[in-house]
Amino acid sequence: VNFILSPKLLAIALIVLVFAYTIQLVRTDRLSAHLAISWIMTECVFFLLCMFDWPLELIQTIFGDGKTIIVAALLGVTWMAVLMLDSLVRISALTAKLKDINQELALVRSEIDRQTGDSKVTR
Amino acid sequence: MKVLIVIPAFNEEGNLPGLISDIRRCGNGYDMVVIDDSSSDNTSEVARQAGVPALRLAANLGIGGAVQTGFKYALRHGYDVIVQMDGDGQHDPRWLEDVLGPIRHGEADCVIGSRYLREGRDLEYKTPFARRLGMYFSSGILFLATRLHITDTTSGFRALNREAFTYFARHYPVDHPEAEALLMLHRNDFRIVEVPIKMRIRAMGTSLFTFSKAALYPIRVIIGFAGLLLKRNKGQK
Repeated sequence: VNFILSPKLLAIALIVLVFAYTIQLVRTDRLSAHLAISWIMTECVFFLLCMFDWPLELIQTIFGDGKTIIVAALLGVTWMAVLMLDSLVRISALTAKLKDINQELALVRSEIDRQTGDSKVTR
Repeated sequence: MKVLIVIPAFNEEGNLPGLISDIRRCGNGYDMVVIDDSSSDNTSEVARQAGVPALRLAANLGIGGAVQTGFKYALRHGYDVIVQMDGDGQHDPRWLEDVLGPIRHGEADCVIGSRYLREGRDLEYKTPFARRLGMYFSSGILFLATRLHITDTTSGFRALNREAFTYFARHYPVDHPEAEALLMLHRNDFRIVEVPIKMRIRAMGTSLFTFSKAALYPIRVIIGFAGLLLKRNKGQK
């Protein structure tokens, strides 16, 4: 039971679950592979960090005994914030493009209607 | 001077015919275009039946996106001035010439039809409490940001000359755009003037400015203004 409830194993299980969910989203076309790549890479890095002890030992050596967890969490949260901001930038750009396309479609449709109307009158 | 009246409309099939015929009665033969913001009723058809071109947006963009479509239309068809009037019929076309006046005389780039100017204040029109609060708030924020005293920041009865609507065809705020648009104009040295107008009561349908929207309005205004002030000035006047 102790082995199953060990933080390391729980963390690995969670990352594997999130990884599987990400892959499932890509497979079912709900998430673009191009947009998912940064998240997939992050999940892989987190997985490797959980598998090996040396990254935490490195943090321990640099920042001291008591601050290992705080520094590791801070780095993780900062990276997640960067990823989220990147996603928001992409969403904002796509929203602006969608608005422009929507407006352009309405303008072109009205122009076609006008020309069709004109040609009907000419005939 | 080639004038276009831009009428953004969302589910306004009941109000449009009256508004269009009123404009024809007072509008000196001005052209009109209805921007149907993806209505679920027959807004576009009603406009076309009345002989007015209607641009139907494939997806709802909100008032800002709809109005900007009108600016783009005006730009492509070579208009000199546009007047924006809401499709709910609350803007009375009798005031069209008053709103156009300062632009005709070269005194302004943007003219706002105001219900609250001291001279000619509209005492008959009762602004809903929530809307009035939102308006005071956006007026205050605009004053703090620009020292510009505009009494009716949320008025959608506006006239713009070619320079101003060309600028807006490229850059226009989408969400609750009226107050933000004024800040953008001011930052780009466009001249803004208010003239007194009176508004009518909406004949049919309900306002989109609900209590919940009004409650969130101050936050949206602050976010919008902060976003604009953080941006590099896109001054291409």
